[in-house]
Order: sequence, then structure tokens, then C-alpha cells
Amino acid sequence: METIEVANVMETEGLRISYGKREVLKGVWVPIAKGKVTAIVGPSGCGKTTLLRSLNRLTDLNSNCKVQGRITLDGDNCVSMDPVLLRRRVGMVFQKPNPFPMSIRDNVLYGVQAQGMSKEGHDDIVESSLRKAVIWDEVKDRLGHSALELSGGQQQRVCIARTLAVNPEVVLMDEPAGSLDPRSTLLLEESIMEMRGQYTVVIVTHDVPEARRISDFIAFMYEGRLVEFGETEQLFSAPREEATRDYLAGGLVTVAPVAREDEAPAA
Amino acid sequence: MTDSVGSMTDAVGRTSDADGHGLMSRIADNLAGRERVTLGLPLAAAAICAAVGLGALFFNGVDAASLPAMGLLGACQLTAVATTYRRTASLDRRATLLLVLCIAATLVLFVAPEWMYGWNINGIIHHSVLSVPLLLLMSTATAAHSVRALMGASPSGRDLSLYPWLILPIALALIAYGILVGDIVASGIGGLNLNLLTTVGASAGNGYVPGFLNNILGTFLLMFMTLVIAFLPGVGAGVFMAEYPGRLAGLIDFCTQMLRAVSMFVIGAAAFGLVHLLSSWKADDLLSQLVRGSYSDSSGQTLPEHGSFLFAAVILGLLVMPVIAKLTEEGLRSVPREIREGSIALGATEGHGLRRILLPWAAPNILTGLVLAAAEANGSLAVLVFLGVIGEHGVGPLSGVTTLDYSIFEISWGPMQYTRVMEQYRLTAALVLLLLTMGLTVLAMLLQRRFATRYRGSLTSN
Ligand SMILES: Nc1ncnc2c1ncn2[C@@H]1O[C@H](COP(=O)(O)OP(=O)(O)OP(=O)(O)O)[C@@H](O)[C@H]1O
Ligand SMILES: [Mg+2]
Repeated sequence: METIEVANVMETEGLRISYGKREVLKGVWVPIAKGKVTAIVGPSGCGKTTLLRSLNRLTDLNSNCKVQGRITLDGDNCVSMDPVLLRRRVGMVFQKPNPFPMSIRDNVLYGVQAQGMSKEGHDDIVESSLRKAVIWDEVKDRLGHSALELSGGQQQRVCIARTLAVNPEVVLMDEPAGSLDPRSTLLLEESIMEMRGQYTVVIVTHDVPEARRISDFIAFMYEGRLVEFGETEQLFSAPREEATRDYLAGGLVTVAPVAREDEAPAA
Repeated sequence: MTDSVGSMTDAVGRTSDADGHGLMSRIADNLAGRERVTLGLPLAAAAICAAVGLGALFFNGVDAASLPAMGLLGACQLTAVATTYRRTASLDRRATLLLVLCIAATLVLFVAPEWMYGWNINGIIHHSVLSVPLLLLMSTATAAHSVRALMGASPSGRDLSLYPWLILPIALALIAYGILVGDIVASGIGGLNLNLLTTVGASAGNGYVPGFLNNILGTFLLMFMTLVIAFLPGVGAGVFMAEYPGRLAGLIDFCTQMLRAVSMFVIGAAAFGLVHLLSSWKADDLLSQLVRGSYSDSSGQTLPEHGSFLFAAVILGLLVMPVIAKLTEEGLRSVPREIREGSIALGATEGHGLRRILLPWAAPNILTGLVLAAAEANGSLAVLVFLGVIGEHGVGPLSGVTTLDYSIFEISWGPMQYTRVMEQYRLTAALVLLLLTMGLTVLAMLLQRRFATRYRGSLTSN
């Protein structure tokens, strides 16, 4: 495998995660390149959500979830960080839109206020965040209305704006278009394109064409292991594994990939 | 994700609105048909039987009709059984059993008077003793069966036939409640005048000037102080139990539950014991004033009371704290996981999430807790019996504690000169208390609904 000439802002090494006795991640290496969009794809239940949640230590909330291995952010081990500070640098957008029961404006400013950031320029933050999430034009006249009055697709984009408002280094997205219609999905993709370069994005998706459209790198996972990682176009044109080709072509894996030990990056 | 308050009333409202018309037409559909008329006969007979049975309870002579009524019920049931047999060529087992029971009951009622007279006891009375329960029992059973037979032809009819049995207990409870409230209103309204409500009742020579002002103010003060004292510990305990589950939270839960299990009367007695311990202290001692309360007589001397508002509020606060804690806990547990995680993922600290999201979300529940706590403080007679006073010496945190329902108690059992004057106002006091509590309850319900829409967005179905 060739080396990728981009700085990794995050990286997992030998990541093993188990719920109780059941190991669902069995030693995973994933690099996350700065300013790029990395897509995580794989069949249902292969551990994508678990991997994503471990990146900002939401796995801590589940008392029977045990995380082993190394996760680093800018070279620092995440385990030794204050989880609150880690989550301020690594934000997350969930599969189901989860706006807070308050006004659109308050939703966007929630993180800003929670982190005790400066009290000035709130209006600018609200506008620029909503613009980045491609929702500004739809809501600019009703910022004071409850976010719950919006449609699911609009809510999801407000949730993205909310995450962007605190300027995280990395934005994690777990099937953000999972419950959206095609038009909302398109707007969502537009907003992710908008973020490229400025933010580092890790996105879990079931939609292979979508992954191809928006991502720079793809990590293909299967049953708790990373099968293949590479630049998007290269993975589509010349996958190394049979399973990867199957999955990217039709989403169905006919030949199970050979179980291999944890791949460390070629240092 | 629904809010308990709003959606509950909504659901009830919808059922009665939407089904009100449909239900009647569905019942009518089920009742159509000639054979149904014969099946309905036992129902009519059962109504007559029930009327006779109830009449015999209150009026002499009606019980003479119990034998024919029971006979009628048997005859109608026979018709119904026969109709069913002709149509289906098989015996309805339950209907036949009822028929046999009806015949047996008729025989018992026929023989009973002779039998009783023979034993040389007042036959009429004992006739009623037997006939009333027999009539009521048989009429209920036959009516129930008849309704099922009438409506049981279709699957939906079988469900519908249960409907009366579902609303019957509620209807009975409402009627009983209505009778009690009606009695209070009817008897209390005569004594009600503005003067009574704005006058401080006080001893005057050998008599007493009637007035409830201090008792009304006292009711509010005690309720208010109790809530103020119980609010923070209650909400705090609730937050702890919901957010930091573990052994300590379990212990707190256990302790608060135990606190509730102890009878108020026992706690009142214990409080009285404490006051009694202090009785050797001088009335103007700080501790004595705090616990017992005091007043100054006309010569300026400080005299002790039985217990102060402050002391009573502390005791009641302990008693109602678990209610607030439990409801706070429930409210916090009902916060959807996604919303919690959303807050955490934005780098909010626990405290920030609690203030901005969790507690507002739980606000309707906490409010319910406060309303229940206020209601409990309001009905706290068991404690006040030991500590209360009539209230002629004023109202304040360190005055002798008094409330409206304590005054109702005192009117029956208090000192002679007070009782004599206040006798006619007993139900007036009850009426005022009733109006106050109802007003507060309505206010609380409105507030709850507002909070629920505001913080949980019941506008959306999300
Ligand atoms: N809270 C939990 N407790 C126990 N097991 C869990 C928990 N969450 C996930 N798992 C298990 O871990 C495995 C991986 O789950 P995960 O949600 O990460 O899969 P996924 O790749 O995101 O799937 P999908 O594409 O369907 O969302 C699954 O087998 C699941 O049963
Ligand atoms: Mg998932």
C-alpha cells in the first residue's frame, strides 16, 4: 500500500472495542487526513457507528463499552484528554436529527455558550454557520422560532450548523442523510462540500455513490475490521480486495475478506 | 417523545370528540334486528329489579314487589334462552345458568318470609335483608350477560359491550364526588360573605368574632414555606438519582421512600414530642421561638405557641421532598437519549446541559411534583392537629401555625366559646378551602401545559 502524503489529524491504531463480552471492533487502523472528507463504508453492523463514536469518546457514556488501543488527535492520546475538551475539538452530527427544543438561533449558539466563548459576534456566528450548512435562506426570517417546527431535512442542517458554530477541527457524521429525502440529501452533500478544506470530516454512509461524490478517502470495514483504506478514486478503480470491489459495485459482499491482523501504517 | 401532560388530555379529548358520535351509531348498528328485542328483555327486567332492590333499601313496602320482580326477571331470561335455542339449536350455557339462578332466587324469596316469621323475627326487615342483595346481584349478572348477548354478534360489538363496565366505576366515583361537593357547596354557601373572609377571628370577652382571614393566609404561607424548603433538596435528590445512578443514589432513593411510608400522624406526634421537650425553655429563647413560635399579649409579654409555621413547614418539607424528587427523576429520565448526546457532543459540561436542557425538559414534571407537594401540605391536618392554633395571634414564619383545614377541625373539637360561634361556618370553611385548592390546581395545569409546549415542543410529532 502506498503512503498518503497528507497530515493526519486523527488516527486510530489497534482499536478494539467490546460491548460486554462481545468484541465489535477487532483491531482497527484508520487515519483521518486533515481538511479532507473521509467516508467509512461497510455492511450494517460492521462497527462504523462504534468507531465514529469512539473518536470523540461518546463511547464513554455506555458503561459496558470497553475501548482498547490508541486514538490520537494531533499526536496526543485522546484517552488522557478531558473528554469535554476533546468533544469541543471533535464535533458530531447524528443519524437522526436531534435539535434541542429551543429556537433555531439558540440551537446554533448552544455550543458557543456551553463552551463559554466570547459573547460578541453571536449574530455573525449564527449567520455564517447556517450559511455553511446551506440552510440560511430557509430560516433567516424565523431564527426565533422553535427548531422543532422545521422539517427533518432542515433540522438536520441546523444540527450541522450547530456543530460548525464552535469551529471543531474534526466533524463526525453518522449517516447524516439516513432519514432524509433526495433533495435534502443533495443540500446536505452541498454543505459537506462547502466544509471541505476548512474542516476535517469523517462521514459514515450506506450510499456508495454518495461516498464517491463527496469523499477524498474511503475506509471499507467488514465485521469489525478495516478491509481496505485508500483514496476514493483509486479504491473504485483498483481495489486490492475482492470484497471491496463487491461492496463498492453493488453493496453486497459475496466473498468474505481474509481476516488479517491489525495493519499498521507503513511508517 | 410525547409530553405527559399535554398528550394525556389531548388523547382523552380526542377519544370523546371523535368516538362520541361513532360509538352511539356503532351500538345502534349492533342492536338492530327483531330477535335482539327478545334478547333485550332480560336487560329491561334487570333494570326493574335493580330499581325495586334499591327502592326496598329506602322505602318501606317496596320490598313487597321484590318477589314479582324476581319472577319477571326469571321469565324474561327464559324467553331469551328459548329464543337463542330456537335460533342456534344449542343452549347458551351461561344464560341457562343465570335462568336456574333466577328461579332459585324466586323460590328463596317466596319461602323466606314464612321461614322468617316462623322464627319469630320481624319478617319485613329480614325479607329486605335477603331480597335487596339477591335482586341487585341477579339484576347485575343478567344485565351484564344480556348486554353481551345483544352486542356480541360482531367482534367489534363484543368490545363495545365492555365499554359500560369501563366507565361505570369512573361514573360512580364522579357521582359520589359530586354528592360530597354538592353538599359542601349547598351548606357552605349560606355562611359565605366577604366579611368572614377578611376578618381576623379573635376572642372577644366570653365570645368569639368569626373570621377566617388568618386561616386563609396561613394556608398560603404554610404551602409556600413548605415548597420553598422542599424545592432545592427535592430537585437535587431527583437529579442525583437520575444522573448519577449507583449505590449512593439507591440509598437516597431508599431513604426518601421510607420517609413516605411513615404515617404523617406518627411524624406529627414526634414533632409534638420535640416541642414538648422545649416547653421548659423560656418563650423568648431563640430556639423556642423558631420551633414553637410565639406571640406578644396585650401587656407586651412574649408567650409560646404549640409550633411555628417554620417548624411545621420543615416537617412538611421533609414529607413532600420525596414527591418532588421522584417526579424530577422521572422527568430527567424522559429526556431522549439523542438530545442528551447532542449536548454532550457539543462539548457542553454536565452542568450546562442540566441547566439549559435537562431541567427545562423536566420542568413540567417538577411542576407536577410541586403541585402534589402543595396539595399534600394543604391536607396536612395530621401534623397540624399536634401543632396548630386557631390563629388569632397573627400569621408569620414564627407565629403559631394555622390553616383553613385546621380551623375546620377546631370547629368540631376546639374550645367551647370558639366552637359555639363557628359551628355554622364549618362547611363555609370547607367551601373556601375547596375553591382555593381547585383554583390552584387549574392554575397548575395551565402552567404545566405551557411548560410542556415551550420546552418539549409538543407542536411537532418528532
Ligand atoms: N450499545 C450497544 N450495546 C451492545 N452492543 C452494541 C451496542 N451498540 C452496537 N452494538 C453492537 O455492535 C455492533 C456494531 O454496531 P454499530 O452500530 O457500530 O454498527 P454499524 O456499522 O454502525 O451498523 P449500521 O450500518 O446498521 O448503523 C453490532 O453488532 C451491534 O449489535
Ligand atoms: Mg450505525
